[in-house]
Amino acid sequence: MRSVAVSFNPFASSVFRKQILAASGLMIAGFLVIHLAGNLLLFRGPEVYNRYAFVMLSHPLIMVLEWLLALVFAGHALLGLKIIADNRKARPVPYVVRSVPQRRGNFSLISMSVTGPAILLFLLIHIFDFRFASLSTVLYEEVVMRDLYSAVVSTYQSPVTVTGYIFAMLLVGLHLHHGFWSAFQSFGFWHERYNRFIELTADFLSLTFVIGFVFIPLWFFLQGIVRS
Amino acid sequence: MKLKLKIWRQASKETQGALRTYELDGVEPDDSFLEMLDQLNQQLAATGEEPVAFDHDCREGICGMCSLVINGTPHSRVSGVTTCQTYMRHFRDGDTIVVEPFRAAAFPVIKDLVVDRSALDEIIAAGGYISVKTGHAQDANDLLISKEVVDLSMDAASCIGCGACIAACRNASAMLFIAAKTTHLGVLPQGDIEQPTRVLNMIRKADELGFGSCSNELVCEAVCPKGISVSNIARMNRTYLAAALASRKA
Ligand code: FES
Repeated sequence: MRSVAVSFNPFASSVFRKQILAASGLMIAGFLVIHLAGNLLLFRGPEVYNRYAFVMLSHPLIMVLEWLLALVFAGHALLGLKIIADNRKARPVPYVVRSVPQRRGNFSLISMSVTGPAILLFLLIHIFDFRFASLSTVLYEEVVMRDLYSAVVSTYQSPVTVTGYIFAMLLVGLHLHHGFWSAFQSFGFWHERYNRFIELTADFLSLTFVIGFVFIPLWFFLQGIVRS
Repeated sequence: MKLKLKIWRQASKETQGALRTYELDGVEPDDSFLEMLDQLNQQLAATGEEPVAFDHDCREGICGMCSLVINGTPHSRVSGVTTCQTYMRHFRDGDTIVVEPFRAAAFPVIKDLVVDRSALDEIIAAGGYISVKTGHAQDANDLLISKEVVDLSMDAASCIGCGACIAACRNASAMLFIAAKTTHLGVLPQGDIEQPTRVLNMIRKADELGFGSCSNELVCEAVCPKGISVSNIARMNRTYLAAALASRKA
């Protein structure tokens, strides 16, 4: 690409902002893969899960990655909110009737500007529930660890909480379904041969996350009912 | 046909507008939408009421002047046509039809259904041209361009600049319009030289004018009377990214 002399402000640019949003979104999708895989360790019992959670909080490399992840999340959320605010300004007077044909299926009726902030709200509750909450501890071979397993299981005993989680996961699925595809379009990736592949990957990823993340709270909730 | 029309009436830029309801009888199925509005205006003039102001020029789908949002869709639900090429046979006797102006911060209402779309001209002035001295006509075979590229450029050039993409977009984004203009010019050798600056400057201008950003919902493509493809937006996005990263201070 030729170097051209033009004034370019990355944060004022509607397109570049979208590209940053796309890149951070794809990173978060990558994180969710690890998150889901890690959570499946819940099915291997308290000790395996608590040890895994302990490593996640104490390994120096993972601590650095956690900071990076927090930065990516914060950037994605703040930039997203800024874009929503600017887009609102672009149409100050709404239509009395708006009915436009949907190309991306009826899912796209639920806009990213709705799912995004809702997921942010969930995320804040979620990290205060599990990441920052002071939990009871357990002792494995002389090492004190947080008993995250029990915290997760007891959180998922409340029908209200479980319903909230499931609803939030559906929003994550919708957000990811559009976001994954949209990220590629924002970068300018468009090819007759590969478009279908990107769409299918978006379907597969969002479905996997929804099924996986819904299954976990539901399983522990139902187990609680069976036991009582 | 007998129709109930709910039409946006607004006396000027400064005043508040509202939907007003009118009854119109004797509409023929083969009347165009604009001919139907002409009949309404005759009826209004007869009773001494101010006729409804709306934009139109060629009335054959090529100039891009007509600009109505019909029952919530720019240029109506009939796909691939402008408002002037929408016919009353697509509606039913007794229908209620809501007619609003294109809505965007960058398209202020001037009167009734007429909006100021000169923001699109400003975007064109920011880079939608080729600055080459024409000189003598050179031999046709000096510049070889494949049929594929010519088609790409011609398809994009069919954009009539009506602004329906912006009117339909949730964010009032002008991306499909700019993508059509930059593809039309930029894929040809004459336009390729200025393409990075063109893309950066036209998008910056649109941002300054208050158009929103693209959420890739593809509604623009669905309402475009000329069927301009969103693949043009992808092409522009990748040019933009490369140009932005390579740009020097002006
Ligand atoms: S009046 Fe010219 S395109 Fe409709």
